[in-house]
Amino acid sequence: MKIQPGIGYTFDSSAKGFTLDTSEQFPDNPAQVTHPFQVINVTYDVAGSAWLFQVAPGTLNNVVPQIDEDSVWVLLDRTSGGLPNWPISVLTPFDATTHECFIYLRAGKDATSGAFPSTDDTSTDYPRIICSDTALSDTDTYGYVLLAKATEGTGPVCSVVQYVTGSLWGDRLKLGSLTAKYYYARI
Amino acid sequence: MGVVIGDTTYVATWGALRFPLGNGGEDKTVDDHNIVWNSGFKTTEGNGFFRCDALQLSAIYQPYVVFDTAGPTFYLSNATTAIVLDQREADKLVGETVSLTGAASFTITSDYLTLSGQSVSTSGTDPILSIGLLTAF
Repeated sequence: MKIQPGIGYTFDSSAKGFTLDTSEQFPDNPAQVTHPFQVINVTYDVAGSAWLFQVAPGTLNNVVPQIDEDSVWVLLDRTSGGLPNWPISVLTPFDATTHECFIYLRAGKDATSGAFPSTDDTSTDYPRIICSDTALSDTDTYGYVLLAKATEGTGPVCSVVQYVTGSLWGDRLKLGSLTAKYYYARI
Repeated sequence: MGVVIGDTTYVATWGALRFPLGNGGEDKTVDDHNIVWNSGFKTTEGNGFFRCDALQLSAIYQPYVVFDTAGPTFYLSNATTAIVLDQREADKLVGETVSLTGAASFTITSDYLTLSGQSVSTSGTDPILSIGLLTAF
């Protein structure tokens, strides 16, 4: 039997058997979400030896970003049966030395209209939450906003520092052949 | 009454209050929340942008400097239009050197902000190659 990681329960396995704890299946405020783009529910998946996380829905120029869930790009505000069903993603990679993982909002201009960000949700230019083990610099293709930084310790433990605490307006400004710059304002 | 930056498809951050100076005319490509300033002068120090005096919410303008060989005169486009370059920014260019094709050069006076422009005693030609404090791009 295989049990997939998820929100609302914990799973513990050993040579003597396994335990599935569902006592917090319907907590009143499981993630204590206080603002858009908040990194929440950072939990360790023992079976997969990986950290899982979610990002509270927010917008960039009124566009809801996507996040990778099982190799599928899913909108942050996904619902199921009329209820929130926010996607769960894997927090990786961590830097081998600093044990840090940067959580970015990445976006590029639309290849057809030129608008920033792209509204083509099949394009890599569409706003997406991505993780990186290094700090990323803006390019002509993508602008990056550091939403949060996770640091992994032994135990396992993982702490998160949140930098962006709201939805964003963003502009792409480019001077001649210089690399485009991206400016954001929190709303 | 306050204006909410970002209510339109134009720039929504402080970019609505910034632009590089044009060289002889406006040269830009404007899409929603995405502006490419194709050529002009950026400030050498700082972020490269000039401040403007009012929000550009319904359209994007670009003040520009002109060397008119017919005069010859040198002037800022907003001396005769509603395009607004922050006065403090415009004043900073007074005393700076303008270099033209043919190695001619002159020093900017405050007359460049007037309707008739600054009368220039040089035989240089367009385009403007460089201006003190600024970097051509």
